[in-house]
Amino acid sequence: MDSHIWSNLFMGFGIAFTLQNLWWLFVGVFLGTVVGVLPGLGSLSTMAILMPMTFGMDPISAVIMLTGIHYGSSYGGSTTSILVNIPGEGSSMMTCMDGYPMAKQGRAKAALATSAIGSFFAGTVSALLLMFLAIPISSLGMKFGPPEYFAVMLLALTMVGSLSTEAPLKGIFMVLLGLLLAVIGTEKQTGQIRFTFGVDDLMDGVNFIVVAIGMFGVTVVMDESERIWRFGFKPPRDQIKGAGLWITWSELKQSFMPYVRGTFLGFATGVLPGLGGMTATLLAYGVEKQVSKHPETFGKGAIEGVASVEASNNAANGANLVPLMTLGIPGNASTALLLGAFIMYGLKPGPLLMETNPEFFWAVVASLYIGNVMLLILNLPLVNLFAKLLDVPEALLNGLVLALCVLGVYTRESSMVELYLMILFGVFGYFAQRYKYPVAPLLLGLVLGDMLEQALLRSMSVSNGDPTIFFTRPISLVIMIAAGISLAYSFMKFYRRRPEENVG
Amino acid sequence: MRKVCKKKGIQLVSLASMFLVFGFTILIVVSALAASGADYPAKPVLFYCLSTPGSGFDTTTRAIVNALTKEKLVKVPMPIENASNATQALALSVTRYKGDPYMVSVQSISGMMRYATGATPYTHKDFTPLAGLVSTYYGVAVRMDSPYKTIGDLVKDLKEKPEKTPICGGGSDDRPFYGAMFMKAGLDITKVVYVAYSGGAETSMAIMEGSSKAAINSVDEQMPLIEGKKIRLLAVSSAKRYTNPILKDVPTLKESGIDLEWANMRYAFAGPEYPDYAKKYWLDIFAKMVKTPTWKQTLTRYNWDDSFQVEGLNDVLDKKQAVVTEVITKLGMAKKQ
Repeated sequence: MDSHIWSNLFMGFGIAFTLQNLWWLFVGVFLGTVVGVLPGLGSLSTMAILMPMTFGMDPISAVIMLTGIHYGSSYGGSTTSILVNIPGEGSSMMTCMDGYPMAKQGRAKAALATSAIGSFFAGTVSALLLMFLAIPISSLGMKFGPPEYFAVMLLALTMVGSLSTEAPLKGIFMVLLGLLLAVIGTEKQTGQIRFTFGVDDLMDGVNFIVVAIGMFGVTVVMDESERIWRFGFKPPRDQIKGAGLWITWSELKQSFMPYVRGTFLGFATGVLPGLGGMTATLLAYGVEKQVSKHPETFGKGAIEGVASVEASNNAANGANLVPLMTLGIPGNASTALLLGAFIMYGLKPGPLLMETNPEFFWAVVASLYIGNVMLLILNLPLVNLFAKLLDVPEALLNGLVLALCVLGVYTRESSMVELYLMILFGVFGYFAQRYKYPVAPLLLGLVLGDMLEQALLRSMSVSNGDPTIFFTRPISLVIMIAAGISLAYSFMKFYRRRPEENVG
Repeated sequence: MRKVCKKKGIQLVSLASMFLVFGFTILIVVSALAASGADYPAKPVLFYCLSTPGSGFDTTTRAIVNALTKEKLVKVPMPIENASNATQALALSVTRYKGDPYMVSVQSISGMMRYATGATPYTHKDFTPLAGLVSTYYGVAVRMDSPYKTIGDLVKDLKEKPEKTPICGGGSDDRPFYGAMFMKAGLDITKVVYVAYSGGAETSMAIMEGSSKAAINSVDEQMPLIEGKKIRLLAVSSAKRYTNPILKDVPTLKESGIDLEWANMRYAFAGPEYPDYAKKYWLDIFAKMVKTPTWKQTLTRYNWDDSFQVEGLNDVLDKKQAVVTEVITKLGMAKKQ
């Protein structure tokens, strides 16, 4: 079996290493990085735009290029998160939490570097996992029904405990608000429309990227403007001139375990269709803060926070290919687009793909290794270039950031309503920050709310309203217990501290 | 000296006015030509896709643009724009693209479902249906080792122990079909436990994992796992059996004793008050397209059925809307009047 894998992999490298395929791979990862950097323009829309171009191409080159865009985007996504607090992609949202504070402390280069190295680590490891474990993992994924999905969501939701150690009550308030926001829009079981107040733009719900750009990007602009208004212009962050030092050896060592944990969590989440990179990053960040010896540094520039999030979203991107390649099941919109492309190229995706077109599967696996090396080489020098952005005078940068926010939201759906929402959440975020309400739990609630509700409704339908279904199925039971432990652990941590600190 | 200047001035003015007159004439002629559509299409035609990349509408839209480009039937570029919010996009295609000759889109049963539940006030009467293009059929799927051999077995369990026999489909758009099917089979459809997922991949997972006993979805979306022998079909909703060797042994609903044929037709449409010349142009183009080898190959690859139709398209849509509304009313999901 093993020698089989190696000979197949050599065949894959043989195909991927042709000049033509290398070129298209480069085009893919390059475009992926670029669109990852630009907020609003995601890998999905880029793949959609480029697909017609690929129809004349060799199918293998085309798929290598398209998957390159898919995983390349999460390399670039962290850039704006770190430098200006605007998430370039949904899955880089959590990178803002510690990446931006790091940049303000003059460690932008370290943050950008750890994110590039973490992405490389996770991308390569997930290619390895895809190669050796694709088939066993995909059959494990087949044991995940609605109750198991619900348990995973619940586990992710318990991360609120670790996301708001400073003020648990405020954290719970924000997560509930997030869940409430998630209710807006069309309910998927019955097609009922809820809380849209006749606004067509809300029919699809409140999009988290709009809220995230508002609460991170717009809030930061307001914050900075207030500072300038109060204290006047200062020379642009004197000590940050040149954007500080490159990543140090000890920072790299600090990042290593977060890479491993982030990769593992990201891969495990990404294998499950429908969960997506967002859930992976939320879990990774929450877990990292829970296991950390100094959780109080999180949110204030902890390099572990950036490292685990960036590793997890890349691992999730790689893992998305598992159900796609082994079963023909797309886990998200990007992989659904790839599936459509496969058929258009005349391939037959599904369990038979690896038998009928092994060269195709192995070429893609090989291209993952090569692509990740290309991305690392491409992204590390860019760190210096992007960090220069911080030398821009603050007053100018503020305008630029606001313009980027508007651009990012408007290119999505050309919707004015979403722009108003962005501003609304920006103002809300500003006051939330001032009164020390944590932002992350709200986003957690908003991201998980819809999936949580759907999983609950489906579980209740299939069990005929019997809630014991969550505890009678082994996988669901194990995850439920993990959720319980996670919750108990947060409580314990909270009550162990001095009582006067506990004021919510 | 001054006189000469003046004379030159007059000359300039008259020259300029002559150019203006010429210019205007050309402009008027051109715009008249444009209005009559003699040079239509003179600029890119937008293919406005009502849902996200990777969805059924999206695949169909891309297939059309691919065939038209490859067969060089349309000379102008045809950019595709995806909307993620189908209800809003449908409304925009009526309001924003009213009378616009440069927009074409694809629509199917999902719009009818939205009208029936009251999510949108628009039906096919509010825009301009152009031509029926492809049809997909439903397949009732079960896990490979399921005890159900025929659709009759499933119906029996649904009658005797509906709460123990949850079925699933790819979203609320599939409700009209299962409703119509089980009404014909003599079941009380309000008792059927139906779990909505999004898309054929998720429903296939739900039956493989076992929480749902049967899945209702387009045959084409279920193909990867049928070919991989992970799931099998009890019946298909087409009038005739599929000719595809893997599917040729699957009976139709009629053969299985349920008197129903159901096609989900995807048809091209444009905004309301669509100019006649543009309509004529696209009908001509589509008629040519469906005969091309590229289009035929596309149909085979995606397992779609050719259902090119122009005459009587409105009747087909009227009838389907009536059925959809009837089933939705029976399920208690219709809009409150």
